[in-house]
Amino acid sequence: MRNLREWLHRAAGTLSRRRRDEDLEEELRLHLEMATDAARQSDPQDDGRRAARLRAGGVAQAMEALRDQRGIPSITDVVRDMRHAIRGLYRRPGFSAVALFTIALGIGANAAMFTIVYGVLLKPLSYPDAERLVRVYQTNPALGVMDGAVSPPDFDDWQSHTRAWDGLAATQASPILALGLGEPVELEMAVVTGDFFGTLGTTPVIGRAITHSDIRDAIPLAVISERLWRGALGGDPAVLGRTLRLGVHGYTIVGVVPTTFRYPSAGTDVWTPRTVLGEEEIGPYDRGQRVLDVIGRLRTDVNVEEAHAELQALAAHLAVEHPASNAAWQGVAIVPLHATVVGSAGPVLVVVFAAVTALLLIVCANLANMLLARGAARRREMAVRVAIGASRTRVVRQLLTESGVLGFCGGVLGIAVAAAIVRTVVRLGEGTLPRLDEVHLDGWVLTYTLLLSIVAGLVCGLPPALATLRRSLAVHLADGRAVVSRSTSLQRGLIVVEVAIAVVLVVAAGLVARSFLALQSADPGFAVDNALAVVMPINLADVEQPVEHIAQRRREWIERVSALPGVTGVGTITSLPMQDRCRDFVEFTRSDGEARTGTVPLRADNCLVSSGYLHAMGIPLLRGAHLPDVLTAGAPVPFLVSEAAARRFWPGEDPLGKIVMLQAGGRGEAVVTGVVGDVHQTGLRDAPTPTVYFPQAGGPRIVATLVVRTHGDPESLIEPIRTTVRHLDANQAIRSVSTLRAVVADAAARDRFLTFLFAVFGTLALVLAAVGVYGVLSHAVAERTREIGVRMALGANRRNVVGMVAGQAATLVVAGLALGLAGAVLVTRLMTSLLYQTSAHDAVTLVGVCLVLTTAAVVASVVPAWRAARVLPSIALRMD
Amino acid sequence: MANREPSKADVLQGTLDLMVLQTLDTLGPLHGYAVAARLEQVSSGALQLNMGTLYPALMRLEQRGLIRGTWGTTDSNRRARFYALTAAGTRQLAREKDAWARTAGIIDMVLNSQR
Repeated sequence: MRNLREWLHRAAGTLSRRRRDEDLEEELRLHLEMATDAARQSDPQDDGRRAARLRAGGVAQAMEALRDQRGIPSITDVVRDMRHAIRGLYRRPGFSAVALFTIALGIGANAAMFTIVYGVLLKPLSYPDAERLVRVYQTNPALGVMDGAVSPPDFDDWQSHTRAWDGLAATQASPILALGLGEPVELEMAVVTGDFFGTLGTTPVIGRAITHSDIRDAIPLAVISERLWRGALGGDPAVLGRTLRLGVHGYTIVGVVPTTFRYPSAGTDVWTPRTVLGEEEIGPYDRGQRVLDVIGRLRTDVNVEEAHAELQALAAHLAVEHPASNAAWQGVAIVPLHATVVGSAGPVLVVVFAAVTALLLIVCANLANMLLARGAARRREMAVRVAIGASRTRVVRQLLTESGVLGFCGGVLGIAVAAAIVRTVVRLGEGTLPRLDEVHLDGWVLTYTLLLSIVAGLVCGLPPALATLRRSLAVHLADGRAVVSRSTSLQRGLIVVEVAIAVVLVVAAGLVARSFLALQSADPGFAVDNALAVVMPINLADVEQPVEHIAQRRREWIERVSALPGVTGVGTITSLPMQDRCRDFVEFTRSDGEARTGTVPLRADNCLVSSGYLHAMGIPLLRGAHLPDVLTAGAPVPFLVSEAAARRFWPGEDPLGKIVMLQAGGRGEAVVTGVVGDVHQTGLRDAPTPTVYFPQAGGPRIVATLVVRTHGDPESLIEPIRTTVRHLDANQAIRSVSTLRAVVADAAARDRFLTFLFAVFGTLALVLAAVGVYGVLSHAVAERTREIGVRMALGANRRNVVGMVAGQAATLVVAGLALGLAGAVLVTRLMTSLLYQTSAHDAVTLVGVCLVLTTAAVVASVVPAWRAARVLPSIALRMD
Repeated sequence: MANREPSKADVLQGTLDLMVLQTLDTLGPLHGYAVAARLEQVSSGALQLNMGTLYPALMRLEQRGLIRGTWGTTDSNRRARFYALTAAGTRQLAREKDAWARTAGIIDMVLNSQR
């Protein structure tokens, strides 16, 4: 309690009326005067000043002691310490450079990852009150669909019969050809219904949003994105009121929303009312037509469970009223919008952040070791200081200031490093992580970085600073290095920990690399080599043409391109697997005698393909026959099923020849004519979904993808194909041409990115750990030079000396390896969700890492060992 | 901070504080030099306090509220700071004198015990 009061006084002393330096000095001078007088009195011949000073001490010293007692050190003291620290950094450029470099690296990487984690995961979405925004899905557990869309009549019922919502809205996304912008441009359009802009609540940059009543009255208005406004429209200030022609309809632009408005996707450029479109564009107003993505804003006094219960009850009621369409779709799922945006990026980012933090720990261990080594070298300097009269606290304070300043300077450099890393990651990682383009350094990150660097500096500087408190320093004033100081157990402990962390990091990197390699060599279900994919959006002139015209155009493409030399197969499909999500699905019921699933419709992904598609893609036909080129009218439509579909819908039977009833689009009959191999639709990690292949006689789609299989190098055929297509129709746009290999590689972009990051971190960790081992061993050898000299003079030969150093290195590394392997086994278990067909305890990786680290340690100990062996006993013994 | 074993510096600080308090109690308000002179005289020259020890001690006692310093003038008309015991200081002095007497008594007993 007494001390607390003293501390409070000290603190108050700095703030309120302090006893000024002048007052204190006056008091001290008076004391000296009186002491001088007294000395003169006792010895009249002598001028008492010297005697007085001897007895009373010096004014300057006393002022120092008073300042220490008075309070938190004055600003001048701190400034003086800092200036001294900076001078100290200049005086030892080698040490400073290495220290600053490693700190900048560790802190910079950490700050960069923190920025990315914050920007992608933690930062709230840019809509007002974004925590109340949720996505609402219908679920069909029997089909395994947990994030299903909602049909328009169901959505209307939801809107009118629930009260849990401040706003409910639905969207449907599709690419559309836009005219009136100079050149025809392909845009991502979202047709909206319900109170869309009200629910999301964004303020437009200019103009206004489309209101609920606009949508109800089917007024053809459009809201565009800021990106579109500034881009294709050139930032035209008079953009409001301009007409935008999208497909067959004309819309008046009424507003522009900011770039941060990214619903339903980051690429959406225009929003229009769904009510403007006709049935032939968006399908019939059918309760079985599940096409709407629903988003809602919860009322402030309602929580998710209550809203869910209300919707669930309504869905059950609808299922009873409309059993044909709703009986199987009784489930409702509510997911916060933030979770759907972030998706599976969470675990990836957390793992990378953990890796970067591990790297920072290694950097701190290295720094602490360097400071300890330097502290050992400066012990004599500290001893002199204390002998002259500095209080130990003062010395400690100065040492801590030095390491704090070192940390701070490293942190400033680290900010530059962090900026560079963030820029690189955002560029390289484009498309791999959501919201990556929203990531940028801001004030919080800068503060975090500087604080972290100062704390790191202080923490690492603490052990050597405290060492000056503990030991008796006078012994260091004696001449000669009679005192042999070995690397303290702290230094050795730090190295062991450092090596252990490096082991864990390198093991993680190895696992990620192996997982990536496995992914690369996995079979996507089609032949990846020697094939091209040409994506072509529908020609603007064809938008209003009849279906047969477009089908004929596609047949012409196939004919002409097949005629090119080097082409062995051509086919078409709407969206290519792995490149674009398969947006089409088909619902059907089995109409053969043993209909097991009753009248509940089954659903599968639907690919509309030409007859040559399977051959062009290299998808094997396992049983049955290919699709015909021409369909016979009146007969059931022939279609193919994938293995997964066959297993799911006709378990234990042969699907060939089975007939199904299609639920939409004419409700015709279709017959299974063949079974084909499974194809990964969304990426190699997800299991292949049940897929069916229907002949592409059907209606115009906005985009067609031409798949061309070639005999030799596919890239040589890019130009001939372009020429052929242009020859057929000069206005045909080609969105992209890429090899199938590139398409598959793109789909694995996130894994590649992760592997790259881990490779970098693993290498850094390895290098830093090796440098750390090197540093400690060098220091040990330098300190023991005299001892080595004695040993050699007494008969040890070079080999013994080298063996001594190597033995020291070996104990450190083996201990580190053991600790690290144990740690790796525990930690990597948390990574299993990231790994593809690789066990977290993969033996090859663990053994490989041991070998790599041992090699690094051997390399690191070579130079110190060599230096030890070169010690000439005569010189060593002569050394002070 | 309050519960660790006192180091040598702390013990010296503690006893010095006690002696300063006692001096101020006996002689009333004094300035710094007078306290040092008095302690040197009473200890027959054994205690020679230099300014770097004495004045921080006085400042510490003032920070703890045991003494209070006020500016005044000496006999020779020089401006000096005089320190006087506060009520809290008087109480603390009594407490510490008791504690010291008890400690000294115990050690005395142990050192002089017959077999």
